[in-house]
Amino acid sequence: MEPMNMQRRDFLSVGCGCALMPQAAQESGPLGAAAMRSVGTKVRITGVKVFGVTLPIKEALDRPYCFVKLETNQGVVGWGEGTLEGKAAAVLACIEDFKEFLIGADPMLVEHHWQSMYVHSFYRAGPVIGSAMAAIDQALWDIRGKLLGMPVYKLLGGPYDPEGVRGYYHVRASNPAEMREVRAKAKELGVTCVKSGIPGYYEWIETREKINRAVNGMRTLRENLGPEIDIGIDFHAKTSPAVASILVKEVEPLNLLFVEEPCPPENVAAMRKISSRSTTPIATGERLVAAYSCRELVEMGVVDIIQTDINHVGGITALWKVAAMAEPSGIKIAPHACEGPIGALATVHVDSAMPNFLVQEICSGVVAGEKEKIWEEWFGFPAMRMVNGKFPLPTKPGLGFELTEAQVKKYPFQGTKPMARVFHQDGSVAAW
Amino acid sequence: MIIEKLEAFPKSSFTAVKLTTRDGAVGWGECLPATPTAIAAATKTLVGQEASRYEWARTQVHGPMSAAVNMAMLDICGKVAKAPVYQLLGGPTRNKVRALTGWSEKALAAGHRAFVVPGTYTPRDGLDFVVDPERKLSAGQASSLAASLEKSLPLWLDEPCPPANLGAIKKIATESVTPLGWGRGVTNLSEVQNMLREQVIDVVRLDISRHGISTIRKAAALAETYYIAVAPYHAGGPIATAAALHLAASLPNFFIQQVPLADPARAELVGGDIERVKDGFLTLPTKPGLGIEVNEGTLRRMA
Repeated sequence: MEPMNMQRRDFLSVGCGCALMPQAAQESGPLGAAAMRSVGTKVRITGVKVFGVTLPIKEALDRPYCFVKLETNQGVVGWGEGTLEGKAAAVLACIEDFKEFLIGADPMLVEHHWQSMYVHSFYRAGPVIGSAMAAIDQALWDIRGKLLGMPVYKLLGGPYDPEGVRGYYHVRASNPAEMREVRAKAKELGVTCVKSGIPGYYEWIETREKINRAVNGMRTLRENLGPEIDIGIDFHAKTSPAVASILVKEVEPLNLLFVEEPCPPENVAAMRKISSRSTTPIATGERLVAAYSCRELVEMGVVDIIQTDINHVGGITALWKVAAMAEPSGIKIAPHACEGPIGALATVHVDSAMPNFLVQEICSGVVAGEKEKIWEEWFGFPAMRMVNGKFPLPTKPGLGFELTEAQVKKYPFQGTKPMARVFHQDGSVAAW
Repeated sequence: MIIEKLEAFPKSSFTAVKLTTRDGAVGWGECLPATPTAIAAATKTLVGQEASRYEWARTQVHGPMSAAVNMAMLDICGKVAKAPVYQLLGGPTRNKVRALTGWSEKALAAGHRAFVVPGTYTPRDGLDFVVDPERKLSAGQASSLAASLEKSLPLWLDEPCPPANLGAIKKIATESVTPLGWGRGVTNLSEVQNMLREQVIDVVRLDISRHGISTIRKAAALAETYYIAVAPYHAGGPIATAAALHLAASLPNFFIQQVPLADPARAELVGGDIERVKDGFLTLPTKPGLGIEVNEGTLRRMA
């Protein structure tokens, strides 16, 4: 990296210095690249490689990592992630579909490429296109940071908090004794926030028994974790507005940090009906693609926290815009992260530059497991493990890590595996 | 499948309708008591028409008769296709149907677990309740009742007042989180759409004997994008119960079916104990059409 940084003034020169530029005729780039040639740099994307990566771990089987590696004519490479749970092969194919947008193009024009991928896809992005764009966007930012010799969070204006990015782990404790163990471990590690869920699946209207069970579960968690730890509860959109409205009101005395996805994301007014009748803070957004999909949430003042996922919303560019849009409305950002480590590490960069950042998720427990071991083996540092309750900021340029193809190829793609499929007692389709 | 004959059997609490096609296929339906004028009008409309045209019939036959005609036409279609009606409609979406009935110890002993009660009640473990004040309250009283019911966790509060004034009932939905059910008296689907848009409804309660299978199925499609459940109202005869079971098995957002308490006379009328409940659930019919054999002699004899 260092020799290239020393020379970067050369290859970052804009096209008007014709001597520094290859002949236009010799360049076989996409149309968009030609249009921007007079103001771009001499750096060119020369390769787009996709990697499906299936970790041999039960919890990771439905979400093989969708990684992309962009290569350039300067030797600098960028890595990005667009893991879409349950739809891995579709995203890998979609990244390939964008190859023509990229080969021969200048990687520095990240916003230009984002716009082109979004607008020129015509069918504005859904989760597959959004995730493919996310992978490419992260890789472009990685290259950018490396070429400019700066970690991405500095390019974005960070760090807001020099100590790092506050995070939370997941709690899967089923009884008070286990909950108290989590409390002790969190205290030992300096972790200040955790998240849990509610048991079972919920019909459109629910029985007294099921509602009481959910409320008692949340109460038991608060009682055993104590008042110092912030608690988020993920309803995972498995409750209807009718059921969620009852639950969020019942748990008001528990002072939760938030209740997440109290209903599915397609109907913003339905979400507003829930949030308008309770003081429990409401969070949502992990399934949303592009800032466009967050506009109504912000405009209508529906939620307190937005949780867009860097791997689906459309990468660093899109996550940053969501945060910018939420800031003047006093809405906090707590990004979702339950896929691979590249997207998670990329998120930390964006978090670090948000004045309205709340807390960063990672789908890991207070005690590291198999998955975290593999991540450490890849990066040579304990990726997405907190120190004193915060994710440390990387110091290297770009996204701040080195990764080789051989390392990810060690866990070859085993194909798309569906996410969980669950059913109610009458056999009808249930959400989880 | 050309309809040749419409016969109506007016009873004290419902009107049964029998359609017969030129090639001898028979379909049964049921609706709220229909007037002789309505029966004559439906007959004039339908005789000579293809029995599969139930969507066209929805626009031509008005009032409760449209429900009976819809069930009977679907019954014929199912019999001709040798398939239960829910298979014609893209089902089944479930393997059994959750039941709701009026509260009595007898109903509890019969296997029911969810009950309609007229007002406040004492919660009991393992049982669930729908509070139905039968529109006797004002919107303000209804709002107070809804708030006082919050801690009892009823399944929902049903039709506490007349729903005509959306502004008035919006107050109930805004002031508490007790779910609200409306719809038994609705005469046009646009009323349901208004309720959904105004966010005053948590359970769509169109009446199987007033609205029929197809209209409620459309209301369910509307409600689905609002994450709202459908739980058809039903206080009629057992032919309508059969129709309701097929409807339930064709909906993704069905929650519970109100059903009168089973008795031998009702079972005899439709040739089977379709209203029998086991641990809170009704069984799905499996025979073609509505899956019932209407006993015409019994039907003629009943009041």
